[in-house]
Amino acid sequence: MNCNNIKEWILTDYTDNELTADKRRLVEMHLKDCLACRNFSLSVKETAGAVTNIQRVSLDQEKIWQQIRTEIDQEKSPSLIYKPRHRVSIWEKIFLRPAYAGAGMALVVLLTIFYFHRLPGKMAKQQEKVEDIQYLSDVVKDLALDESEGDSSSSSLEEYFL
Amino acid sequence: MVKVADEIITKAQQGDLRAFEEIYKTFFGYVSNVAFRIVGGTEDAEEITQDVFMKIYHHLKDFKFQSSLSTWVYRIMVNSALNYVKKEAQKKRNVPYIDELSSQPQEPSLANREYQEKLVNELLGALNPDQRAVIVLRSIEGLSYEEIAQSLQIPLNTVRSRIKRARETMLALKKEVIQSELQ
Repeated sequence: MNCNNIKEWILTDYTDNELTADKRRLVEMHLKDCLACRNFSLSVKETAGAVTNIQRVSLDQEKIWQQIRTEIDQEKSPSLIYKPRHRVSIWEKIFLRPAYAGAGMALVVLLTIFYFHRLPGKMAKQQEKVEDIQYLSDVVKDLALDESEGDSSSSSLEEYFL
Repeated sequence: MVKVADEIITKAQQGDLRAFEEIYKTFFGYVSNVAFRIVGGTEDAEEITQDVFMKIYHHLKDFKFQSSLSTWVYRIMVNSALNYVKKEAQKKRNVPYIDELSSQPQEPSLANREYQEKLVNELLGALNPDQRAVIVLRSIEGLSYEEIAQSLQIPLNTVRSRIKRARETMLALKKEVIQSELQ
């Protein structure tokens, strides 16, 4: 094993006692013969040890517990107050949502435009029908007049259909 | 790792506040210490500690006993602290690791313990939050690599590489500190 591999282990598993017994033996054998790695190992242990031995910090346990209790109590309290639930109807659900309301409005506008767009055509057709009926009624009147005048060989009504 | 009886956990899950207090007392030392070491300030550490226990309170019912409660708490703890540090860093772009002890003026007559404390704070402050978290869990809390991997939900080799880089950074900084003291 070369020094680079040994140093990798020294920085991690060797210093933290995570190496298997075999690997640990390998590192120790190397350290016996290599002064540079031995010094490196000492520096790493010293640095890691400084962090390990640092004094534990403890905050005010009781003060923080009281703050937690207050927060829990505040969360619990609204549920103790009875609030009748308002049932939302389907129309409220639809029209209270801006997206639905917008779509509904657009649909209404489109239907209105469509209705008024088709209206003149409808009215024109109705007018044509009225005119046809009027024409036919005129023809029938003429026919009645012709018959009363004694011409029975042919009628304008017959001519119309022929 | 600290252990809490399953009975206590079950009671706390059912809303028993005394059982929850038991859990709080068991983990308080760990949570507050790690929070302090990761964020580097008493007020921030208190805020994180409170936040962590509120998260535990809210989500305890989801704990399925598949891992140990300690691992579960450690995960919430470290994630909360790291999120806090990252959020603060985004807000302020670059938040230095300010420790109240390290911000005291340096005097040559400082007692050895104070000197060590200051040095360690400087070393931890030189690390990024992810590296700081693994170093705190390993060197201060004494968790194994496997436990750190489980707590942070990261691969074992990621734990190794973070520890390696953290120690390289700390060694380089320590060298600088010693050299500057000699000058």
